[in-house]
Amino acid sequence: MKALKIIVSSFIIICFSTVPLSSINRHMDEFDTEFSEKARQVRNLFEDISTINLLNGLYLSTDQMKKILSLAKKAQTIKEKFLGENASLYMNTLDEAEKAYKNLFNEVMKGDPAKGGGEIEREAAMINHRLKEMQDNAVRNITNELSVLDHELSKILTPEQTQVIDTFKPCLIPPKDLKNPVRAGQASSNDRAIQILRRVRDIPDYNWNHRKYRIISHMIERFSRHRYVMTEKEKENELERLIALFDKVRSMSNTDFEFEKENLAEEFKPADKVHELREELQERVPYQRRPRASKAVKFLLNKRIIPILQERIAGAM
Amino acid sequence: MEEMERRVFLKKIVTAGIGAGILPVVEKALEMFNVQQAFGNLYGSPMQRAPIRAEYFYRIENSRDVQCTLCPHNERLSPGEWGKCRIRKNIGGELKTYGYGQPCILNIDPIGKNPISHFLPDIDILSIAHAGCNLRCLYCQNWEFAQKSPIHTRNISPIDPDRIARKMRSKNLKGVGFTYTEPVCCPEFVKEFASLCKDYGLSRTLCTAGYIKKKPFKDLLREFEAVTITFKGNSSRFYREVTGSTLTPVLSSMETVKSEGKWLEVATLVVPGLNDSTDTLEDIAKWIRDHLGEETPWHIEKFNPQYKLQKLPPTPQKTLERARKIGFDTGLQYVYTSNIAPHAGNHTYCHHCGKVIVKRMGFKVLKNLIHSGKCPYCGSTIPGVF
Repeated sequence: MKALKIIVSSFIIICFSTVPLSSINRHMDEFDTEFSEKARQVRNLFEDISTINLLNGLYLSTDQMKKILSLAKKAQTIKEKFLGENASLYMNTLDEAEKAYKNLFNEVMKGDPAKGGGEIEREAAMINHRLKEMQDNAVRNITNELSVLDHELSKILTPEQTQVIDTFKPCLIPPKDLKNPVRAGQASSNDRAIQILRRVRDIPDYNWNHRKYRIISHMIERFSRHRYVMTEKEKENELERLIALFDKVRSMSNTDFEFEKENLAEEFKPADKVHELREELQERVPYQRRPRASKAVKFLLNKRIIPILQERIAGAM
Repeated sequence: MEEMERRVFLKKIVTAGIGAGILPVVEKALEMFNVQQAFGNLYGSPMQRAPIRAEYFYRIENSRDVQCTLCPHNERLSPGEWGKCRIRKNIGGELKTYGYGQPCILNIDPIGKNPISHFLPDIDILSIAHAGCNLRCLYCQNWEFAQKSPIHTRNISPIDPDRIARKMRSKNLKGVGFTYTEPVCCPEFVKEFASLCKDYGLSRTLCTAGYIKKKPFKDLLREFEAVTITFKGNSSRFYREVTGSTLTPVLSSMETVKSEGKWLEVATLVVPGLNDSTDTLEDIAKWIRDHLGEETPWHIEKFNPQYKLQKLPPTPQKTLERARKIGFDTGLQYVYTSNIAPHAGNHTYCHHCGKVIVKRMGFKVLKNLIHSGKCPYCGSTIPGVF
């Protein structure tokens, strides 16, 4: 029973260790200005911590930091300039939208929206479409302008640093290899997945044969509840997969297990279905296809990194 | 719950108490007469094999004490006493070594993790370690294994060296590295396994603190091609207070590796407040230059709070960069920064033209441009084995 608890809880930790901890509920904004202000502050803190985690893992030289700071300021200027130039246009469009929506609201409330020959509806739909287009254009234009800076940024960073950024996920607690890269002369046998596999190997045959379905089903249920809701068919497949894997792990000799443990740990970790679904959505749904800034631009050329870099540069002097 | 008579209950308690009390005594007796092999450990510890007769000791005349001659601790052990290494023990007037053929770690690593950068830099090796160490470094990076006896660790035992060597071949591992803990404390197994690997055509590397006497070290070195020695500090005081050992034998070991014609690299873990001063780092760099040669690679490693020095901060990036500069300014040709990645100090730069010839991300080699041991840009011979 104890083994079951340890295995299941460790499995859940593995599942969650890859989830960015951005769980500050954005719906707070709807309630109250006090709530929304607090939520914004907490979100900002999360982003700052995440940025610092990334910077710690990049080991930037002072020269690199100075250059990135300069680019971050330029990026900020571009964004502010764009917003400044288009502010009146946006405001006018929003005024028009407000007027059109109010008209439609009144008609809908009366219960006869098509009274004016559908004119009010058409007008509201048009303005709605125009707003979306403006939003898309704004993103596209800013992204285009930032792509120039992205190119400059790629010259400042080494390919290895770019590799770190590309695999970075915003987080409060940095993953082990970012905060704490494998060290010279240090045994890296603390991988949690490997620990679980070792525990599975340790369960006596009698207990394993009696409890394996229970242990694995429990694992799958927890995963399905907290991480990604599985269909019954998916659960069955996962059960089969894990039973086969664990039986293989248990039947291996000590030596074979030690040689294969890294591969087995990879095999054991569940697929990142959420990421897969998100990718698929962007691939298949046309309006989801917006030009996106690179991860380097997103993480390093934003407003919030400026004071952090300024402080680091001052500390390095 | 079924009710139990008071008399029965008390009887059970007394029996259990006597049983628990007698167990260590019985075990001690079995140990004295060396019959543990037949019964295994009474507490079900991971020991599955009996200890074997150790090398490098002699029996004190007219006594059952033994004198260990493996390391400079020069320990005289009475029956039942363990050595500082926690591997060797006097059993019935004979020195026995525990952990023979029972490594606690088998890992597949890039060779650079040893750390070693100028010896077949592209290959992956099997890193192997058994529990125990004759040093007591306060910052021990592997204290879960190094500061324990093989009878208290979870061992991969019994291993079949021949099978492992074959498996290594099938996994395309080109060598074996004894690392993580202190391989010199178990010379019996290390020599035998390295010798077997030699027969299989696999390369052999050793990572050690070098706290060993000359004779056993020379015997060990015969089986190895490349060695990394950790040069922890520049003073006897540092060695005594932080590592529980002395400096002179370590210096002597480094010179022995050189004189035996084996490839040598030196590593220093830079600990804030302990060995990070400019004077200390300059002393170390100068000693390497003067006694081992300017071509000897020096690895400057970042400290991460471990074991008994959890309250110290990690080594700042600036300190590592300063140490690297000190190394170059002193005249060393190859100075690396370890445990920070990505960093410019991970790569190998030609000592002549200064161009990157081996590009690394941490210990992983991304690109190795060295061709036949020469720089592809200026043709200079790069020291090491490529």
